[in-house]
Amino acid sequence: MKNNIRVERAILRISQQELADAIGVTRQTIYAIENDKFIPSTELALKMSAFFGKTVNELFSL
Amino acid sequence: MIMNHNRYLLPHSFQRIGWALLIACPILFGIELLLFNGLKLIPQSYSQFGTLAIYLAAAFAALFVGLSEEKQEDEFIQSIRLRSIAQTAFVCFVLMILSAIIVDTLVAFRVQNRDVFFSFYQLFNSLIFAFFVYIVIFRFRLFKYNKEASHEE
Repeated sequence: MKNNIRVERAILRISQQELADAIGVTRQTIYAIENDKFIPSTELALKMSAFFGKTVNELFSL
Repeated sequence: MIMNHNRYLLPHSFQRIGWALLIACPILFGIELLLFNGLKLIPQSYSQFGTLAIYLAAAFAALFVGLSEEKQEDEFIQSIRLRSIAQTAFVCFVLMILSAIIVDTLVAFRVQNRDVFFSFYQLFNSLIFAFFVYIVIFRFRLFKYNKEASHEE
């Protein structure tokens, strides 16, 4: 599964730590998701979706 | 934290107690060796209590360090836990089989001084050993991800 979290984060100009703090996870989790080493749960995907103001499909793709 | 609906881990504060016990174990073992075997200051009959105390300290240390939450426990750390448990199962299984084969071979060939191999056999079959293997694998994985993540912004 691919994602464009890194791109969305760059658009908002926020660091991994800032995103992690906003959605309540560790920076390592954001790193692992961005590098396709970890697939987030539905709950976390929805939190990211709400944070970036995009749908889950816009953030994640198969 | 996310995905923390089912709390099955001990609070993070237990981890500090666990590490303290883990550090204390070799020190206590050294003191016991010195008192009972070296200087022989205390009667041998008390040695069993000392050994039991060290065994219990090691068991609680393994439990507290292995099964307590990280400072910020999230679903990624829980996935690392799961993978570490699977790897621990493989490692312990291989060691258990190898030690059983080695011990049986030694018995069959009537090798002298095979007690040390029996000790390893017992060690590899113990749950505490499995806990320590899990702690090493889990900590290594955490360290690896922390190191990798530290290179990114």
